[in-house]
Amino acid sequence: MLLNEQNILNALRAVQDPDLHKNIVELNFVQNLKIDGDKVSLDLRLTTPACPIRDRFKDQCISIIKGLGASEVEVTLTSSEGRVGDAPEKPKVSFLGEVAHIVGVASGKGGVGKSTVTANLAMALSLSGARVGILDADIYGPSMGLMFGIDKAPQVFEDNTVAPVEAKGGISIVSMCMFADSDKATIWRGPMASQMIQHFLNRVRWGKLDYLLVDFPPGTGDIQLTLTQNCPMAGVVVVTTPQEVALADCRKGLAMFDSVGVPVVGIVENMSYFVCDGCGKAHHIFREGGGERIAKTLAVPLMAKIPLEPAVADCGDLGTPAVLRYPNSLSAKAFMEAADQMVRTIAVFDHEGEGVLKNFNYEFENLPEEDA
Amino acid sequence: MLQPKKVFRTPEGKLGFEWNDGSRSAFSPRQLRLACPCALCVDEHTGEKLLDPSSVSENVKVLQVQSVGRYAVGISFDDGHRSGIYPYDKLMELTKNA
Repeated sequence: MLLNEQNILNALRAVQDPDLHKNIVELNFVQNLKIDGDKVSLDLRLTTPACPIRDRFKDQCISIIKGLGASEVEVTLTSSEGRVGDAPEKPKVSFLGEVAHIVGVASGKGGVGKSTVTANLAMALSLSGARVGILDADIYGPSMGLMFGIDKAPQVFEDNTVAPVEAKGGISIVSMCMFADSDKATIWRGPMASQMIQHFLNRVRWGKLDYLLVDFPPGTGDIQLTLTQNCPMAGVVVVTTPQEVALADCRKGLAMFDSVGVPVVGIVENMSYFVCDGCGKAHHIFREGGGERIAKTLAVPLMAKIPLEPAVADCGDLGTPAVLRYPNSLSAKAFMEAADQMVRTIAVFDHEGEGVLKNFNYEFENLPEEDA
Repeated sequence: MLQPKKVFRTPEGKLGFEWNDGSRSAFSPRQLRLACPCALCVDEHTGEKLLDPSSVSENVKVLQVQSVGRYAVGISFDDGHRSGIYPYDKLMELTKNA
């Protein structure tokens, strides 16, 4: 068959994105197609740099184009930078403008391992090539410092802005623990806490990030509302443990996000089971199937079930997330899967929300005039 | 989930939205000011309306429209009032009831 643009594009229509249910040509992923004799090169512009199936796309493209008679095929993977280019000039609300996706990690109840999940999701995303940041918004009980073994204070600039601390895995982190004495309690009333959060959101120079994970404090209160109102969350991951008491709170958390229009990426069931190092059997300490039940009744996906593993549990205290320290553990694999699924779900949300205004601040006078 | 695709103003000075379901709404500034759901205008516990419509000028104007998270807009008016957060689905209701 003749090696021309039309034929190549037609053939590439066979490559489907399993999440968006469209082919890569239709999705405009194929860019910069060049044909030089029997040598072909092209860019694949993916929705996210951490796309878990990028290598599969690449291999499929190469074999299809070779099938058309090309001797050499070069596929370069690129990713769109949060569609900055085609948006009309947006007012700069804060440094968050350079963050492509803000994803919350929340729970209705404390002690379910939100921070552990946040740390490991971030590490898994970072290992897959994404630029990742963590905002530890749990201002009463910040734990990101411990989880990543950070003992540095962030750099504060003259204009009162702050540079995040770069932690293991190149993850940018800002946490309340960097500003407060670790042994003193943060005793704040709602308004002050909300103000602190707004500072965190607006005054941190995050730089270009693909994902900013926000570790929510437990519950459904002031801070949670401030967070959801002040930054356009792409989605939220809800963490729970399998027992009924945690699930009840988890439902409340989900209801809150529903009422503020933040879509739920899925549920992570932490402390799902314990694998005995003596008998090797999985023990369901907090009963079984709680996460599945709530996922089913509320029609949100169950992203992962993270087991209790003593060695992995130590990781948090020792300052290196399990995904980095024990990449072959059951927990690490579950975290990696959850991160993959998060990336794919956020890409679907992006696609569905195409053309929708996210973050705006208009002067009435400057709005375009149209008939109703 | 209802979200705006475009915000505009009409020749009559109404504030307009084009929604992601394809429909459009337009509200006069006074209609929006009277529908303000904030705690100064509506009692938080009883839902009783505290705002006296006669206190709102016929010519009240919208100054600014700002997104609040992903579910609402905050509107500031030229009478100094700016504490109202208008969820998108409430605006849709307002369209239907108009």
